[in-house]
Amino acid sequence: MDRSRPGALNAWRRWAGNGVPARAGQAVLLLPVIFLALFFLYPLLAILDYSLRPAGVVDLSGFARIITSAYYRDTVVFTIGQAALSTLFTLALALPGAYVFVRYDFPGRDTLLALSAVPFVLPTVVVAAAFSALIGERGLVNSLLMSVLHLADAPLRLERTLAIILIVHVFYNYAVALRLITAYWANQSPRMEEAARLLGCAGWRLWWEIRLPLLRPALLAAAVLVFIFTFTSFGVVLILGGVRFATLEVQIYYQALNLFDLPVAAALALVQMALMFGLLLVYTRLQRQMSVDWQSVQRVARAPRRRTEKLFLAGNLLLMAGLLFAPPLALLLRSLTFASDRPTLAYYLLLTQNPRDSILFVPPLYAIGNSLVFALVTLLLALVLGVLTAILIERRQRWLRWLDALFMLPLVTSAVTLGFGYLIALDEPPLALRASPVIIPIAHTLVALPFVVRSLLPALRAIPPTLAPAAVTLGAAPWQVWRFIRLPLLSRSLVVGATFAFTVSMGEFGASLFIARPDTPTLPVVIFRLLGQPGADNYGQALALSVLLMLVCSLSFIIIERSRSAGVGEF
Amino acid sequence: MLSLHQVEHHYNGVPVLQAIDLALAAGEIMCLLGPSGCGKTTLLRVIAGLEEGSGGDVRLEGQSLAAVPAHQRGFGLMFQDYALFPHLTVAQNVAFGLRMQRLPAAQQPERIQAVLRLVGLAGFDGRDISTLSGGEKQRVALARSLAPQPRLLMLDEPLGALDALLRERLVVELRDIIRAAGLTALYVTHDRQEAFAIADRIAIMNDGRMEQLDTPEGLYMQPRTAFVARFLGLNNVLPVQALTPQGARTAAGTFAVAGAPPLVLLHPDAITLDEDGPLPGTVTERTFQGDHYRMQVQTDAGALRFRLSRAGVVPLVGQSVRLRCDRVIGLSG
Repeated sequence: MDRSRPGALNAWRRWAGNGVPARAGQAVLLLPVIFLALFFLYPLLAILDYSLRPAGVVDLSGFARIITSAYYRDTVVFTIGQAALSTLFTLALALPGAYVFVRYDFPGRDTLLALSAVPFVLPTVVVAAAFSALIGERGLVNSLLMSVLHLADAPLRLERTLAIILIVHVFYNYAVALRLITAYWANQSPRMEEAARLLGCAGWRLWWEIRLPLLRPALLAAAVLVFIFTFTSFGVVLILGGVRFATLEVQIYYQALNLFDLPVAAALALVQMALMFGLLLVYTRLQRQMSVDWQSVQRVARAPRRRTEKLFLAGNLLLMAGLLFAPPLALLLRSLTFASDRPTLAYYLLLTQNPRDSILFVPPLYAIGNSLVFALVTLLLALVLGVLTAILIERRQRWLRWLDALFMLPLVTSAVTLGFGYLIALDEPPLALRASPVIIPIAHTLVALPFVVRSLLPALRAIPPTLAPAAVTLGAAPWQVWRFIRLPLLSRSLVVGATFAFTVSMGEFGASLFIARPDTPTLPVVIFRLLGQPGADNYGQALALSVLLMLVCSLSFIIIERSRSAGVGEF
Repeated sequence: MLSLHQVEHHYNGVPVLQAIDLALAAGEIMCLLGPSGCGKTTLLRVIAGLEEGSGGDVRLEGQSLAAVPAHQRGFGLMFQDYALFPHLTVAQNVAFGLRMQRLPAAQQPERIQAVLRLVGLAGFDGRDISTLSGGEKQRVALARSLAPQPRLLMLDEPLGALDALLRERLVVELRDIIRAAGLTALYVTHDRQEAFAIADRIAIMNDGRMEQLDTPEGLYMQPRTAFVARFLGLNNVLPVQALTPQGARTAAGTFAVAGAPPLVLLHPDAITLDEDGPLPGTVTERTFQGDHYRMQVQTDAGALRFRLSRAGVVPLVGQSVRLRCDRVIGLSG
């Protein structure tokens, strides 16, 4: 071999680099593509097809009904409106928060910033249950108010209002906006602001003339991201909003599963996909603007000095801590004290039973078993497919460039749309998987795959390309290069990816609601059903199950934070 | 005009500035010269009001500035990285200070044009900041600090980001612009050539203290401390072994000096070759520098550096020579 020629070296690397003989290797690498085609593109295309030809012939009556009906128009208006309000409130709270993190040094600063990511890993049903336990009619705040003020009824009635939806959306997205803005801001030279001050700029003019314009790219990106997240909000609106409020997501679910109006559901799903695609394009554009290189990076954080500074800092920290910790704590507390005045495990014990009048076919505890099995299968599937996908993308051949974007698509495709697609597409031969429990881990794998790939790619790219040839010249067979060189170097990322996959599967709600069979319900689906039922026992069990799910997810969070070295993981 | 009285600054308990006294006359250009980390930039920031001093007082025309926030001091500061506003054009950057002063909009264009002409950027009004070269950015930053007609112009290593050739040319230009505008200026740099080129007086700083304040010529001819001498490139510093009635005794001989200095400087300008000189040695370096040779001679007292004119005889490396020094200055430690 002529090592002086880069072409020859590249050819050699291509062959030895993947650790598998060329032809067999290509075939294995195609697996993720096939998987994506079958279980992602095919169902989405089925929705498209169904929305245009519900009964085999072209029939646009679904669209016609959406356009002409004020009811569906209201759904669209509400979806956009609540997303806009959620975005506004989130940014309004996150901006001063980011200021605090950029400007002030205080004990526990880095820990708090890390903990702010906890809502990321909490499933919607858990968050809904937590907020119900905190500020719902049966929640902690109300029960305290009732005992203190000697009231017979709950004074705070937030359930089934727009307010509680917005509050939960802020809870979910506060950290998203906070981290984005903080990261951007901290990388800006503080000199620009000082220059403005010396030129006579102070107070609100400093915000208006300098800070906000300079933060514009980060603010816009955060706004679009939060808007995307809240635009597709499903579980929160479904559980806490009641029948009065429906986003497009919720409407698709109602139409498909409650009213069996599949043409309208398909048409709504199509509208939703089109809007999401547009938003995504905007976001990618903005993200490119964000990578502006600033001249000097200096930490300007210092301890707060004046009284007003201290008050401002304290106010923000209080808000943040309240937002982050109060709901989970209320959930835990309420699951132990809802039954009586003294802490009791009554609801946890109830989980093992299957009373005759239950709406479930199985004791709730069985759902934990189901979810664990599904999550483990998802973990395996996502890890194998994720590694293959990462290898495929990492080769950076020109015709593979679009793959990176393609494998990110499930991230922005709503789970409800996916579940609905499965409902339509996988119901009949050749892929009649609707009746099989396998369909759940397949759906979860699709949702988890982008996370796994994003965790693996940076680590894979960080492996020096000369390591494999070095190992081969020392006598390592291709599989040994993987076994002794690459996998050990990837181990941390593999742990992060696996944990992500597991967590996503444990908490996935939207798709599962569509495809989970009554006899093998997942944990989030059971929590949802229990929350929807009257009676203290059902509510208590929902809280208890939510606590268990929350503990699993918190554990995952710790594993991810511990395994993730600084700078690894591109999100 | 501006005076500093015992200014102190501590950062996390570590003193950054200690007992700084300084007085600037109106129309004067003063340089703060020192190695990085000596506190010169911090001093500038304290004067600007960007840092609160931990002690002492900054006064303008006799009035204390302690209660005056940065945005009301009316000082101009040109930052090392220029800190231009990337969301504004060249003209908008220059206009910023005028807008903050609430100068009537009708008067702004004229002032902006005048300042842009002064710095040689006429016609750059609408240009985007990101399209400018380093030298152009530097001029915009200068124009921006000049436009509001500051009572004091401060420049923090304004040429630091530029290459050496450009720097040499721009420093003269900068001096002419400041003079033309009739401004009082405080100029921070670590480059002695730059300081010599621009300053009426230079304050040399070291480790948070003021070492010496004098004109460039005064500093060069009469350095008072070993630090100042070495920082100005005057390296022939010898320890004094004993003080005798004849003067300070060193390994290179006994020299008459005032006081009781622990060190003496053999000023390189006064070192000459002399067959009857008291200092024997061997040439160890002979570097052609154009109009002169840089020489180093190893003597019993250590290596001595000096220059030799091209006109005379220049000994080769390895040759034995004898030296004499007619200017010996006592230094404090």
